[in-house]
Amino acid sequence: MVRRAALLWLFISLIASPAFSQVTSATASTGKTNYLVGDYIHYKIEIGYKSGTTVYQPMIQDSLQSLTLLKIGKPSKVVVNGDTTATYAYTLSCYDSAGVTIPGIPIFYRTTGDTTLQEVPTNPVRFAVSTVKVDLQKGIKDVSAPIKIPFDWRWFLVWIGAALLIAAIAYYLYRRYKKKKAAAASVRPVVKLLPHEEALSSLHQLEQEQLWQRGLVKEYHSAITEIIRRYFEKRFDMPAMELPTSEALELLKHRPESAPILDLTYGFLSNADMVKFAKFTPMNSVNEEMMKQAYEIVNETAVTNGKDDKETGDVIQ
Amino acid sequence: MDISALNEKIKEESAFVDLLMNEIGKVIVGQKAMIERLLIGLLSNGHVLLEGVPGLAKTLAIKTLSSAMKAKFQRIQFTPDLLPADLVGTQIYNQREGNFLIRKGPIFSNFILADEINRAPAKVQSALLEAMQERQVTIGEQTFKLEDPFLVLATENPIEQEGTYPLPEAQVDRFMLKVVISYPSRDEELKIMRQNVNAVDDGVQQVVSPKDIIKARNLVHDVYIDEKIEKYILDIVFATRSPKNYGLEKLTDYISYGASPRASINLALGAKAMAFIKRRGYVIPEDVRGICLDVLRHRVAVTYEAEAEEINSENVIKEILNKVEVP
Repeated sequence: MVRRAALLWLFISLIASPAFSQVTSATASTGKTNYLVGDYIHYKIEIGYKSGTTVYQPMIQDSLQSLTLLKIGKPSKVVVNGDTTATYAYTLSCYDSAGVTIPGIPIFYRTTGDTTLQEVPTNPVRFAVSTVKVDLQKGIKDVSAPIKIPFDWRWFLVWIGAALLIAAIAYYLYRRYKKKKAAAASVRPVVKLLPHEEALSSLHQLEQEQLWQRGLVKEYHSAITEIIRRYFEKRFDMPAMELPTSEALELLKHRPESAPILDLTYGFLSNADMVKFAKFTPMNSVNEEMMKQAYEIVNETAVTNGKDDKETGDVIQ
Repeated sequence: MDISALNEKIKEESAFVDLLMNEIGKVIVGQKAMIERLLIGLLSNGHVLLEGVPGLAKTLAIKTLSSAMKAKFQRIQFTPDLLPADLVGTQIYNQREGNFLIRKGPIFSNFILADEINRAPAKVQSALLEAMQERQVTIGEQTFKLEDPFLVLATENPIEQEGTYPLPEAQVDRFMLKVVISYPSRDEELKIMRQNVNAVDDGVQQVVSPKDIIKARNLVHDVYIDEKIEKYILDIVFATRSPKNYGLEKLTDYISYGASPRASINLALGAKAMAFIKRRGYVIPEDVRGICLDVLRHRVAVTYEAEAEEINSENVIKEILNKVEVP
């Protein structure tokens, strides 16, 4: 009798044990059973479990096969009387027509006081994905109608403002062009100075500046020799600005027109070199003499009716 | 010092230059520019690289210069098997006393003729160039100062380049001047021929001592160089680096790299020495232009494009001189 009772207890406990573990449940579903290619398929897994159970997030990627996982939604939890329902949402899509089955996804969990990793599968979900039927008889049309933008007064004002701005710029440019044209019409005729005229004018200007009188002796000698060198460049067509005194004089020797001023130029440039490079402080009379010599050099070699000289003169407006 | 006083002093102290030139002129016909450059090197404490075909009196010139100064002279023929110790000296083991003796090399002289410097390997060239720069030599653990004045005249043969070791740019830069000498004129060659055929030996007299040269060198430092001249020197040197800034756009493609700051220093020193030789106490643009080619020709490198168009560094420098305004 005792033996029978023990066997009965063992049988009942073996039957009751799985029923006790089935407290955690998992259900999978999709909204519809028919989809078009490219449609969003909202796949949802709901897991119900008691308190004291830790449920791990389902891993569905490996079970999707021909489906594409587009988005994983934020999981949500609802607790009612100690029973928790966790929902995991996924957005899937399929780009081929077929009958699709998402197999049962294993959900892993642990209960308090038990280290065993337990598993409950979701139910498999079946649905069909079909292509859009194209009626070749009908014409091509937009997938969706063009969006209608509502009329906005602010945009209208912006366009009006831009148009006014462009008109103002155009008017300004027109006024400027007219002004320039008028100025060009009233410009003085171009006057070409001959080399000697230019040199004499520069010498006169240098005299007015009174450099040596203000103690700027070195600057005075640099300026006066520069005027004469520039004059030589234009009058004798030689690179006098790039040549030192001895080389410039050597070139001058080969120009018969320079014969009357050769000795004078030698003295003039050598004196200036002494002031410029040897800290030589000349007497006031020497400074005055330098100006006289410069005028003499220019006047002695000036050509007033030479065609070539006119062409080499600078343009003054 | 006041310029006129300095001018007078230099006129007085540089009197030996004419004597020296006359004395050398007794033996050397022509080649005045080369002798003048040797003197500039000597007075500026620089060294001279000489390029010219054989037989242009390079050795004779420096030998005569040393005789006229009664200074020590050594000629070293650079060959591929030359060793640095052959040049600077070495330690010799004294078996009797059981110690090392120092045997100084030929570099311990006032004038060195480094003949065909590009025939010796790089380590020998480096030993010479280091001694030129440092003016001292270390043998074993001992350092010895070189003679003063100390002038190295190195020669390079522009022909027969096979089996030579061309001096690298950094080494060439250490020579203050690179002088290119050419054949004498017809009249000069006639004189040379007669002088040698008739075996007239006037003999060179000492006209100046090494001490006088050292004294003159100090005076060369005192020669006045105006700020305008300094700016002119800088304009020339900078035009080799950035020709575009000086209206020489066409040279941009021809210059591989421009002159180093050593060029500016040596141009200023050379111009001062030139003024001294011309017996002036101040530098004028002519002095700068006179020495410019010799200071810059080995410091401005031209591109392959320039070489293809047969444009060398001299053409580039001349172009720059024709463009940069004289103060």
